[in-house]
Amino acid sequence: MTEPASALIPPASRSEALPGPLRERIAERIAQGSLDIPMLPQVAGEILAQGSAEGADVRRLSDLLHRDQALAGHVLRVANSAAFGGDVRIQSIQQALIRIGLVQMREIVVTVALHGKVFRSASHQGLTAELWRHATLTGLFAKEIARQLRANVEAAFVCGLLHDVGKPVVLGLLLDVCKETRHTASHAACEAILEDFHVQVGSLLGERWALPDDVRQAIAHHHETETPDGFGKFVRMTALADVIAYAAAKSDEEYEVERGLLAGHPLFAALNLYPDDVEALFAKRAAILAHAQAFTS
Amino acid sequence: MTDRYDLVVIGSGPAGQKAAIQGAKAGCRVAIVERGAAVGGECVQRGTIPSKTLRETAVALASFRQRSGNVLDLQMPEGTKISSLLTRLDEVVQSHQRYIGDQLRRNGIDLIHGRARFVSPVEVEVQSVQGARRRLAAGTIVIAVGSTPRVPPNVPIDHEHVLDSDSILSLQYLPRSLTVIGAGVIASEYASIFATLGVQVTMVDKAPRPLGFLDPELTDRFVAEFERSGARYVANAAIASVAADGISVVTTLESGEVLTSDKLLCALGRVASVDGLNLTAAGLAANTRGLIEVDAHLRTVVPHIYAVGDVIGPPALATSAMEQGRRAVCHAMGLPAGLSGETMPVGVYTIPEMACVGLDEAAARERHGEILVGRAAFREIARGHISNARDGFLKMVAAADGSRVLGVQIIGEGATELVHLGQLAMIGAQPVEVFIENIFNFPTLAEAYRVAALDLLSRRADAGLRLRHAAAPVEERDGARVP
Ligand SMILES: Cc1cc2nc3c(=O)[nH]c(=O)nc-3n(C[C@H](O)[C@H](O)[C@H](O)COP(=O)(O)OP(=O)(O)OC[C@H]3O[C@@H](n4cnc5c(N)ncnc54)[C@H](O)[C@@H]3O)c2cc1C
Repeated sequence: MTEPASALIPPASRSEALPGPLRERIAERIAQGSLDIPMLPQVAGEILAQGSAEGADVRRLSDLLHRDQALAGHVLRVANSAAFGGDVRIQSIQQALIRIGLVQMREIVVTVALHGKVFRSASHQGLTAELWRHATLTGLFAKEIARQLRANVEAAFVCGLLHDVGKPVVLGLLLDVCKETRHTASHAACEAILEDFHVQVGSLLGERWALPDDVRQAIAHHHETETPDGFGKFVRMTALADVIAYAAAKSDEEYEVERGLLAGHPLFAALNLYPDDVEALFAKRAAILAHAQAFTS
Repeated sequence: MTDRYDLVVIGSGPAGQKAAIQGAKAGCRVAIVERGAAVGGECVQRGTIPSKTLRETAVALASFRQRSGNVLDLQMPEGTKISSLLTRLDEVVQSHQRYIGDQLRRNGIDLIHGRARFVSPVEVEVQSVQGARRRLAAGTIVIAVGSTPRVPPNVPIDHEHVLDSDSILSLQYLPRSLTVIGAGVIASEYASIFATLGVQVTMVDKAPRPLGFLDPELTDRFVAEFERSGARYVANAAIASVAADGISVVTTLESGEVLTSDKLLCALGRVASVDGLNLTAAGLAANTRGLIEVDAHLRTVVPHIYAVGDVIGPPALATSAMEQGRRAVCHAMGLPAGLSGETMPVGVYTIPEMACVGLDEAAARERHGEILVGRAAFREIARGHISNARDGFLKMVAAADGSRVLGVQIIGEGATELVHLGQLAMIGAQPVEVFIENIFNFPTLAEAYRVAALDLLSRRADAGLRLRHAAAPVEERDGARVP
C-alpha cells in the first residue's frame, strides 16, 4: 500500500482526529449498509452505460442538455473557456457539442451530474471542491497514461474520474453522524475518515450503480502498488494517475519535490513506463491543470 | 560492469527470436534485449496475431452469412465490444509468449528487459525500466528492433479518435463508421475486417488501387468485394486535413470532398525503430528512408553488426523477418544458410485473402517476353461451391513452353495456404504438368491448380504448341475461363 502524496491525507492524525466512538459508529453504519447512497443521476447513468461515445446519439444528448439549464450552462462555460476557446463565443448547445466534442461532452455531463448530486456539501465546500478537482485531474492523467500505453483513453478517464467516488458519500455519512451526535469534525478529521472508508464505500457504490468492471476494480484497488496480473491495466493506470494528480495539484515548488520522489514509483515499472515516458507524462501537467480548471470552475 | 556475449540481439520480435535461437544452436553465448514488458515484438503484441484474431471473427461472420445464402444477414448489435470479437486473443497471445519465452530459456539465452543503445561498435548499454544501466559487449550484434507506425504531420493521431495500427484495437466499441487512410497491407486488412463486421468503412489513398504490389486482377477483385460489403475505396485522393472534434473525425480531401466518420485509422506506412539506438556510436546511420541498409548477407557497413526484419524495410513481414534473423546469424557464424528464398510467398489477410508467389503476369512478360497464363475460378470448383467461396480465383503464370511455373496469384479464402503448392512447384522447378499428373483430394480448393494448369496448357495448344497430354474434359477447361 502506498499513501497518496498529499496534504489531503495526513496519516499520523488519522485515528486520533475523531473520537473513537464516532469512527465506530460510521464503521457500523457502513457495515449495516445503511448508507445514503445517491442513485447515479439519470443522464450520467445513461451516458456511462454507453461506455463510450460511439453509441450515444448526439441529438439525444443535445435534447438532454437543452432541458437541463444547469448542465447546459456548465457546458457552454466549458466550451467558451480558455482550454477550448475559439474566437467566437458560442451560444448554442449544438455548437458547443461540436466544439467540445461528443466524448468531452460525455465527460462533462458525467462530471457535472456527479458534481451536482454527489459532490455537494454546504458545510465543507473547500473539501468537496478539492475532491472534485482531484477526481477530474486523475481522470485527465489516466487519459494521458492510456494514450502512452495505447490503451482505451475514454475508459481510462472514467476510471480516473470515479476512483474516489466513495469519498463524498463517506463525507455525507460523517456529517450525518456528526449532526446526530452534535459533534463538529475538523477538516483534518474529515480527511482521515474519508481516507479510511472511501474504498469500501466506493466499492459498494460501484456495485449498486452496476458500474463497468474496470471502473469497479479501479475503485477497489487504486491504492495498491502491486496489483496481481489478473487485474486489468486500468487499475494500475488509475492508481498511477491518482498519485500523479495529487502531486500535480500542489504549488510549483512542492510539485518539483514530489516529482522527484514520484519518479521511482513502482507503478511506472509495472506499466513498463521508462524514465523518459514518465517525464513526458509530467510535462503534461500545465495543460492538464488548465483543462481541469475549465471542467471544474 | 560489462557482460560479455558472443551474440547480442536487440529486439525479440520474429527476427530477433530466430537470430538468438540460431546463435544459441551454433553454441554461442547469447543475450536478447527487449524493451517491451513481454517478448514477441509487434507481431505478437499489436500486429499479426491481434489483427488476425479479430479477422477470425469477421471471417466467421462473413462465412455464416454466405453459407446461409445471405438469407440470414447477421449484424453486430450497436455497442458491440471489440474485446468480445477478439476471439481468445489473451489465450493466443499468452500461449505464444510462453512458447517463445520457453524456447529462449531452453536454448540458454539470457533475456534482458530494457532498452538498448549503442555506446560503441561492440558495446550496447541497456537501460532497465527503472532507469538502471548495464553494458553488454559482443562479437556479433544483430539489430532486430522492428518498426512503429508512421505519424504523418497532417494527421493528429491521438489514439482516441484518430488511431494508428498500434491503438486501433484499443477501441472499446465497434464504431459505426471508420475512415482508413492508406492502402497498404495493414490499411487494407483492417478496412476489410471492419467492413465485414458491419462498420461503414471508407478507405482513401493516393494510389489508383490498394496494394499496388499485387497483380491488378487480384486487387480489382478485392475492391469489388470490398465495395460489395458496403465499403468504399476512394482512389487517387490526397488528404488535405484531418480534424477530430470529439463527435466525429472530419477528413477533407484535396478534391474538396469531406468524409465524416466516428473514428479514423491512419495506416500510412511504418518507420524503423532506430530512434533510441544511438547508431552513430556504432558507426552506423539510417538511410534517407530511415532504414538500416544491409548487404545480401544482412550485414551492415560495420561487418559484425547485422540488421534484420522491419528495420531494413520491405517486405516487412513476420515470415521474412524470421528467415532474415536465421540467415544473418548463420552468416556471422560461418554456417550454411541454405538457398535464399527467391520464392518467398506474400500473404495478405484481407477479406477475402490474397496471396502470391513469384512473378505476376506483367513482371513475367517484362522479364520473359512470351508467357502463358491460366486461370481457375473457385466458383467452378466443387469445393468452391460447397463452401460458397465463389469469388476467388487462382492465376498461374508459366514459361511459354509450360516447362516452369513463374508465379501464382490467388484471391479467396484459403489463398495464403494454397499458395504454398505453387511455391513448392517453383522451388522444385516443376513443369506445369505436375498439377495435372498428380492427384488432388476431391473436393478441395487446391484443385484450382489443376484447372488453371489445364487452362494454361490449352492456351499453349491454341498457340500451336504440342500438348504432351491429352486434352482435359471440356467442362473443366470451360470452368477455367477468365473468372
Ligand atoms: C497490424 C499488423 C498486421 C500484420 N500482419 C502480418 C501478417 O499477417 N503476416 C506477416 O508475416 N506479417 C504481418 N505483420 C508484420 C509483422 O508484424 C512484422 O513484419 C514483424 O513483426 C517484424 O518483425 P521484427 O522482429 O523485425 O520486429 P518487431 O516484431 O517489431 O519486434 C521488434 C522488437 O524490438 C523491440 N525494440 C525496439 N527497439 C528496441 C531497443 N532499443 N531495445 C530493446 N528492444 C527494442 C520492440 O519492443 C519489439 O518487441 C503485421 C504487422 C502489423 C502492424
